[in-house]
Formats: sequence, C-alpha cells, structure tokens
Amino acid sequence: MKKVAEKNESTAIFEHLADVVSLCSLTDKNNVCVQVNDWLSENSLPSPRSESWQNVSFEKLLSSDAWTTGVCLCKPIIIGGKVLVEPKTVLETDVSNIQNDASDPFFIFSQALVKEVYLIEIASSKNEVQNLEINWPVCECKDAKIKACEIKIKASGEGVSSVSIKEKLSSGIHFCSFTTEVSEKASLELSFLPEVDQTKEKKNIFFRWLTSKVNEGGSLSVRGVSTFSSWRREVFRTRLNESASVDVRLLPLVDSDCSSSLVADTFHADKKSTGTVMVRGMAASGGKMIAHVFSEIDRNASESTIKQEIRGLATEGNGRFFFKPHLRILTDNVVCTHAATFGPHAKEALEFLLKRGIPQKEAEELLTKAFFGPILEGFTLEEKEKVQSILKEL
Amino acid sequence: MLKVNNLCVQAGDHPILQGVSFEILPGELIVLTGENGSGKSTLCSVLSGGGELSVTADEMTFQNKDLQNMLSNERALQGLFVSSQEPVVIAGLSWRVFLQAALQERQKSLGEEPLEVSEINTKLEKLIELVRMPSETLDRGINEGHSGGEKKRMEMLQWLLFAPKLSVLDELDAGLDQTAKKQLAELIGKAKNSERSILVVSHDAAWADSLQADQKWTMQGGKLKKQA
Repeated sequence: MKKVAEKNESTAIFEHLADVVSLCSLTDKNNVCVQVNDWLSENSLPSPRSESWQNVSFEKLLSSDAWTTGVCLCKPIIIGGKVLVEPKTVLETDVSNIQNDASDPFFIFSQALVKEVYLIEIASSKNEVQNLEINWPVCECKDAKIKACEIKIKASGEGVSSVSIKEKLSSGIHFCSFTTEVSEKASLELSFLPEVDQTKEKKNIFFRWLTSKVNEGGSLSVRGVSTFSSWRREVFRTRLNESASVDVRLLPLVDSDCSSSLVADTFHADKKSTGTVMVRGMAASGGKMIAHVFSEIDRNASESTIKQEIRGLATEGNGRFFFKPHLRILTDNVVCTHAATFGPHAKEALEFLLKRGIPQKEAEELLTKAFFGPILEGFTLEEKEKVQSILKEL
Repeated sequence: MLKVNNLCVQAGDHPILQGVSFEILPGELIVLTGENGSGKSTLCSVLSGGGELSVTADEMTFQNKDLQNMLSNERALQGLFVSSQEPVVIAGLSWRVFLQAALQERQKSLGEEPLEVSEINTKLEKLIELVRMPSETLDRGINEGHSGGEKKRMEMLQWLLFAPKLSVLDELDAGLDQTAKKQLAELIGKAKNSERSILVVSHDAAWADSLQADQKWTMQGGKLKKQA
C-alpha cells in the first residue's frame, strides 16, 4: 500500500501541481491549464499558486467529492495471459541505485495520488510466449481531469512475456508509473502505443515513469511511441545485472507547438550486460523534442556493451531539438557507442527520389518511413502498422 | 527529342557551361567525353532539374515541352532518365519499396491502373538477375553497404526498369568491371531504337568507341564541341 502524503506535505504537493501547471502553460496551446484551473475553481479549491493551500488538508482533500470526480486512480483492464492482478500489493524490487526520482516533483505528486498499486506477475515456461494487453486508462476516467496509475510487473520463467500497453488518452493530466522486474533468464517485452483514434485529442499532459531491474541473463525490450500530448515527460530507468540486456526503442512524435521530454538511463551493475537505447523522433513547427540518454558502467561491469543513438527529424522549419547522449564508464574492456543528430531529410536523398519521378510529398513520406525504419526493426508487425498509421495522421 | 539552345550555367560568379547548344533526335546514340571539370556532369544535372545553379537558356525543350518549367519528377515522368554519377545512400528505404512507388507514379501519370505488386516483383526479380545482383538486394536500403560497382549496377536496373525515352547515362560505366562494361554496351545497343535516344557520358574513350555512336561530342571548358 502506498503511503498517503502527510498533512504537512500537502502544501509541497500542491506546489508541485502548481509547477506542473506553470510548466505546461509554457507550451500549452490547448488550454489544459485552463481546464485544470476550472476544475479547481468548480470544486471550491484554491488556484495552483494560491497561498490558501497552506490550510488545505491533503487527506481530507483526497476523500472529498472533488477528488472522486476530478481524479481517477485508474485500474488497468488486462486481457489475455496467465496473470495475477493484485491491487494493494507492492512488488519489492531493489532499484535503489537507479530510482533517484525523489527530487522529481511530478514523481512525488504521482506517488502521492496513487493509492492502489497493481501487481502483475507473469510466468512463461521455456519456448512459451505469453501475450498480455493492458488498456489504460479505463473508460470511466473520461471526465476526470487528473488520472494516475501505478503498475508493477514481474516476469519470470525462461519464456517470453509480452505486455502491450494501449493508451487511450483524453484531456487532462495523466500520471503513469511502472516498475518491472525481470527474473533470471526471463524475457519481458513491453510496448506503449497510443490509440490512433485519439488524434484530435491532443489536450493532455502526460507523465510516465518506467523503472526496471533485469536480473542475471534476463532481457527487457521496451518499445514506445510518444505522441498526442501537449506536454510530455517520460523517464525510463533500467538496472542490469550480469549478462542482462535491455533494448529501448522510443519514437517521440511531437506535433506543432507541443513538447516531449525523454530520459532513458541504463545502469550496468555487473559484467557482460548489454544496453541499447535508440530514440528517433520528429518535431513539427514549434514542437520541442528533448532526449537525454545516460548510461553508466559500474566498476564490476566489464565486458559490457552500450549503444546510444538519438536522432531527430525536423519535418518543418521550426522544430527544436535538445539531445544529450552521456556515458559514464568506470571500468575497462567495454564497448560503447553514442550518437546524436537532428535535421530535415537529406537534400540529396529527396532530389534522388524526385529525379526518379516521385512527387515531393510522396518522396518526403518515403524518407520519413526510411528514417524510422531502423528503430522499427524491433517492433512487431502489428505495432509497425500502427506506427505507420500514426505517422500518416500526423 | 531534346533541343538545347545557348545554355549557360553559373555557380555564383563562376561560369560552368557557356552557350551550349545541341539537339538529340529520336533514335540517336551520342557519346560525350571530356576532361574532369569540363562541365559534362553539370549538363546532366541541369537536364534532370533541381540543384542550386543559375541556369539560363534561349531554348531547352524535351519532346517540344519547355524543360525549364518542369519539376524534376515531371521530367522523369515525361521519359527523361539521368543516371546518378554518385548514387545516394538512403538507409531504411528498400529498393523494392522505392521502385514500386516510382513505377506506380508512372502508371498514374499515364492515367493507367496501378500495377499488381506481384507483376512489379516479377519484373524486379528478372532485372536484378540481369544486372547480376543478389535478389536479396531488393529488400536492402538504397545503396546501403553497396560497393561502387554495385551502385552502378543498381543504376542500370533503374534505367532498364523505367525504359525512358531519353537516357542520359552519366559515367554509368565508371566502377564497373570489364564483364559488366561489356554487358552495359550490349544493353545500350539493344535499348536504342527509333523512339528511344541515349546520351552516354564517359571517360573511357575505348569503351565509348565500342558503342558505335551516331555522334561524338566533347566538352571543353564549358563549351560543347561536336566531332565530325
């Protein structure tokens, strides 16, 4: 059971809410902040920056009608797979070395909101693939302005556990936190894909945390598409033990005047671990794409391999890109590569396609497909098709 | 087929082509040679369109249509093919996807129904064998990991696939081995007919001689000289 914030923490938490709203207002063209402020006002709550929050009891607030109508603590809907879903059970995963989000106001806020943690255990025997689908958030949440959910996934056995998280985002602020543990020799595949039919619904602010631990010989694959939000912040952190591997492939697709910020860290705690982080995204005019990839190879983690790659595609003139590939290597005998580039389509490539009779628009579409080709290699056929339809919508 | 009158090309203040005039008639095979930097590739580039050079001409028509008012893709769809001297690499875009798209654009411009994918694939399989490349190449990125000679073989494939009315083969022989060069010469001989013209640009005088061209031109200091 999550600890509900103490009374004296309420001020701090709502200051964080104020921070969220203030930060979002920098890029918010879709009036999310107005919606949040309206909701606060409708429920006789002070505005985010008001000093009156000093006098608001957090526990009282959580039990008030305002929260039950305004905040949805989402329950995931799970389809398929032999799984155990157990709310209020916390998976004890030692991720202390990497879970340094204690200073992240959004994370604290999310933790304070979430009262029920859903534990999903998947055990796949050798040569078996277990497919699991999580629909999030549930439809009853549609009127809530703030939606929060915390899910812990534990994969064991020597087979493959495949978890597909289908996001149906509506307007408001979403907090979504995952913790995963991959047992020895187990494989877990996680994919985060937005539903395509929500293309017109870009009025949300979205926060995601995925903190993972991969034990000896285990492997974790994370595939994510980030889009349809005014403002996004996503943090992916993985701790790797001996001979463990993680393959993170992320596609932030940032629409006009929207913002997406990604942090992907791998911590190589023991030898022969492999970490691959590929980020390929695009930003339309006025869009902002931030990607920080950090990998640390600890003293005992010799013979480890790291590959970092961040690439951005400017589909129109004014997309902004802020990339930081970062390595911290504390031992010898490791293989590390990192790269970061951004820009529009190569002029020579576009000219070549035009000279072969392909019109400008179609040529650009082909080059966009080509740009995402390498990152999509790790996606399933169904996921690839979904990405293509999202790209078409954008 | 192609008529060019007083073509001048400049890069900034530097003149590259100076008053170039010529005509290519239907069914003609012409060989153009010249030293490095004489302007041969600039001429090819101007014909295909695009680029950032300053181009002026009293006349530049292809099949009686003003070439200067046509975009690069429109020129290609009208039947003008200019091979790339330095083929571009496009990682992630497979030959098959690109060639299918290019063929379907041709169908569209002719007002015809799209081709069946199986029909296109059969064509591609035949041609890839003809240019002596492994069929798996079709599913690799454009020129990704290709050697210089392999890139030129894939240029050959495109040329054969599109069957253009006017082919401008800019040093298509460069980088090919002797067998492939001989094969290219044979294919050029076969491709030339009363409706199709070919302009071959080459540095290899002996190979160019073997083509039995109708005319031989040389480019020198941006000026075109026609040999008797």
